[in-house]
Amino acid sequence: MSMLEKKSVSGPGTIVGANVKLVGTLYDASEIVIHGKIEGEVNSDKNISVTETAYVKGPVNAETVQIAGEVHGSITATGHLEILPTGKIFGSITTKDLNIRSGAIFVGKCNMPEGEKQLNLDKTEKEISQKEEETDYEAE
Amino acid sequence: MYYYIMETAGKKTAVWQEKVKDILGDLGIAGETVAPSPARTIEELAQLGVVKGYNTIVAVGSQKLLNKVASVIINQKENRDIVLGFVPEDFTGSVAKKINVKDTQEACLALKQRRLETIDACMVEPNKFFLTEATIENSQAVDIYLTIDSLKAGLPANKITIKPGIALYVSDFSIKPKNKGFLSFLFGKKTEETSDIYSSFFQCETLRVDSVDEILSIKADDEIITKTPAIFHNRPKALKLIVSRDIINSKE
Repeated sequence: MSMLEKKSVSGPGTIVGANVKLVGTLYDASEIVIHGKIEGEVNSDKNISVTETAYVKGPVNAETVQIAGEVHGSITATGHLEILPTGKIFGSITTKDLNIRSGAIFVGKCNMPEGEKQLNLDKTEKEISQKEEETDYEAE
Repeated sequence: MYYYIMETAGKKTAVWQEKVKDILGDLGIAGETVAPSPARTIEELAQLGVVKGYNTIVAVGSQKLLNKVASVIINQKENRDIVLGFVPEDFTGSVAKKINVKDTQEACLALKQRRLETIDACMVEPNKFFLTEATIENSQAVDIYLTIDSLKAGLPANKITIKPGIALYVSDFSIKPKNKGFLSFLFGKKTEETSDIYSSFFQCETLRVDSVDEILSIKADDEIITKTPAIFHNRPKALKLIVSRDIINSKE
């Protein structure tokens, strides 16, 4: 059974040491902490923490993602994404809650689906209120 | 009926074994007791217990003995539920803690009460099992290649611990500063312990360990069980182990 197919594991999660070089898809239902180098996809149902010494080349997907190291690839955080002052991201990010600290490097596109939804909602509300105002004015 | 396998006794162990036999007799669960000799190994004795039709085989002694008996029971092709019991000689071991017994009396009482827990085991190819942990240790860090399920990893390490589950701990102590500064000792700075970024932890179903420069021994309870390259498989719920009644109560 591959790590990708692994059923949910209740436990301390995965820790990749600073002197480790990994190739492949890493999945853990619990938290993943990366101090080392990974070439491949990193997926977690909970948190992923890419620390200062870490280098990831590949997509990163989790509920909460914290970046203090270097990531070359897309990042999707269904919850919160935080880029710390030492963090470097070269790739697109998708999240609904974003925090980029001063000193961080981010080169890529940022998608906030929740924000887009909100924007569309605001637009629709504005259009409706405008139409209502116009109808009131015509009635008068 | 119970079938007890005891280790070859030294003077000190012989006294303890007699004590165990007395307690078992008092509890009314005395059975056939055997000990290895030049003619019969532990594995052969365990096999004999299986052939004779015993449903409860008890290892009395070290965790090393327990692993050997467990290997025989798990390797049985017959679909017969053989239960493993353990009376540990040393109560600080991981299995003694797992079955939650603190002394010989408690361990024997647990056998009588027969509360069963199905436990995981780790298999080392071709057919050895262990319930405790296997370690690879070297004084200096060596380059190790691991295949953790579908992941490939390369790293220098001087200690690797593999536990049933499979839980894999990898450490490289050579990188860490060996001596704590006097001032940090005085003022309680914990930076060295808290910033252990050179240790790794993985959970997997299958693990392969390769070493390039030298062949490394893999030990379980001070006994070499295999050498690199080695392949480990998780065997969930491989065995029924007798545990203390308290352990069930505390879970409830």
